[in-house]
Amino acid sequence: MARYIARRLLVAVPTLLALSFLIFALVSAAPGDPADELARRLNGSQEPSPEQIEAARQELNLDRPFLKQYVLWVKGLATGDLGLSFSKKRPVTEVVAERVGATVQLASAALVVILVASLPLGVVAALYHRRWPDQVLRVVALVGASMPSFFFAYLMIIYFVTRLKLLPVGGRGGFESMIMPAIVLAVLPTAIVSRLLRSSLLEVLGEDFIRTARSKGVAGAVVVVRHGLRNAAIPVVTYLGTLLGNLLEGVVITEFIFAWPGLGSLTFEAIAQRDYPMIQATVLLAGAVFIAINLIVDISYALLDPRIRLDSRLERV
Amino acid sequence: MLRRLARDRAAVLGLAIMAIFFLAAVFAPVIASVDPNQTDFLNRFAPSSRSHLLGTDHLGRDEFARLVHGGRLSLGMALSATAGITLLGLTLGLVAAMYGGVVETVIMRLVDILLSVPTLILALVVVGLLGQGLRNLIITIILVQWPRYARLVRGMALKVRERDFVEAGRAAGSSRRRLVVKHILPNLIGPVVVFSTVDMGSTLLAVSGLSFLGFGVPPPTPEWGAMLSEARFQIERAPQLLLYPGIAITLVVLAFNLAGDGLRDLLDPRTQAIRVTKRERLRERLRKEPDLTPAEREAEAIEAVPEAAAGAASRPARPAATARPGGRRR
Repeated sequence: MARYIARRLLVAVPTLLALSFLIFALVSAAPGDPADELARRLNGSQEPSPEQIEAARQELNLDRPFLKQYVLWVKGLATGDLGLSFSKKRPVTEVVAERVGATVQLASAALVVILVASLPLGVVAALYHRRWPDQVLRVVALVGASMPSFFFAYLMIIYFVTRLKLLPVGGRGGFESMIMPAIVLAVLPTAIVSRLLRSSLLEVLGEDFIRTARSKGVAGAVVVVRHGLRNAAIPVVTYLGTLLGNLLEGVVITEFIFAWPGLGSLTFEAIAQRDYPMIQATVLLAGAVFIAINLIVDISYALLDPRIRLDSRLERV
Repeated sequence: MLRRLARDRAAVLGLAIMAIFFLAAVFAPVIASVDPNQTDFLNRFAPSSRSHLLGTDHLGRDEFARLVHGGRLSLGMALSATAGITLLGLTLGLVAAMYGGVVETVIMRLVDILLSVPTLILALVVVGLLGQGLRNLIITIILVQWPRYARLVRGMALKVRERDFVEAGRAAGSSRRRLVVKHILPNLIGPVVVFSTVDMGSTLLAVSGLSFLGFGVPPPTPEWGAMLSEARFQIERAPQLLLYPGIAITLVVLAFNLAGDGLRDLLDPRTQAIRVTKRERLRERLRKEPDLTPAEREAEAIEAVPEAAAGAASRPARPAATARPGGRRR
């Protein structure tokens, strides 16, 4: 078990390093000259002189060999210096630290929505298996998974902002400004989680131990909640890693549409403005978070499922 | 088999919608003979009429023509991207599974690295660096999506490789290529078709998403994602301009998901009568598990659960459908 965790950790670190190298290489291979870009930005509207461009080149370490550049960048990473944002003219770490909170807030709100929405939906669908609540959920979930998030976002905006004038169109303000982005973020994961919950709950409720509990006289609701849900949760945990990936992606579009000042919109702005240091930082951050969460999910999955704990060679039939 | 498919009403609906949209895309110039880029500033935001089936947009262009021609572009891109992904993923997955060793390690590590970043973000970086344009968009999506495919193919190929008939072929001295073509590929075709069909849905979402963010075809070329992006500035005056492309995208993705699920149920080995010999059952117990990482197992498990595959929700998985309140027989 400990060996399993150690093995996973051992794989995660080189993956992260390799990812950082890939990003670095990609950004370096981009058309255009970053030194020129930087000099231009620093100079305002004037054409930068050759000396200024050269100075910028040195500042960015572009006069060193490629691998040296990468090593220097990683060193900077370790000390918390990710360079200067081209477009914002401030240290990257500063900008990122500023906007982390907003994204965490939004993601948490979305998670709450997902939990609150998919639990009852999944349970009801399982209990009314094959009857109309189940069919309705199936259709709703399917549509929810097929609809592009940006379309759903504007549907909400048309209705709640333009028609009802109930909610603000964007920006990070009070509680109302968080409602629509959180719901938009939550749509796809809710569709998936509620369906996953439904099918795994159906499987669990058919098991013998449920029958035993019922025959012992345990109340229906208690059976479902205490015995059923706890076991049905395992496949849902499997999905958690992908869920986070969906959220990380959804955040980019959602923050863009609702002008939410978080890391998602920062990533998009960085790419749109060709802010190379920022691009490197945000993509690496996304990758690191993704890898970390997947690691945690893998480990907790191993903890939850005794079969994996006791027998490292999992038999999948 | 086709008869079984015909009985699945949802899948038939999906296929019907797919057919309608594809035909519309192919015959676009015939169906909508008006130039979709023809502006008419005297006739902006016109309601639907005989000459403009869906009215005009903020520049006076015929919305219906834009929708139909836009579909051509969106669907065309989704189709070519999916073809590319399938080709690349299938090839590399098979190579990894069949050659093993260093080749396999290199390919699978590359897959791991590429999959460690959420796909949209990676796609944004690649397309942001490559620049706008139809070709760059398709290339980007292929580059970003092939890893998932390759991983699945490798897992499946490894499983098939362990089966008796492949072992027999190997013992008889068949070359690797022959083994692949004659034995392994035919067993993969079914799942690959299912994945590709459902994948078309997510590819379309990716294409329109990236176009929406401004990384697709440059204006004024009509494309559903780009049309949505343009329409958001007209939200007060003409919200319907948002609705048309949005509903179109949703319908087509829905169709792909329905058809894909129908195909998946059709090819579900649990519904097929597989005659497993006693010897094979014994070998199952004794054989070496293909060395999949937990992430890959998870990926396979999630793909096997129709709900979570490609983010699409679907019909109940078979075991759930057979769950009886009185308890299940294992």
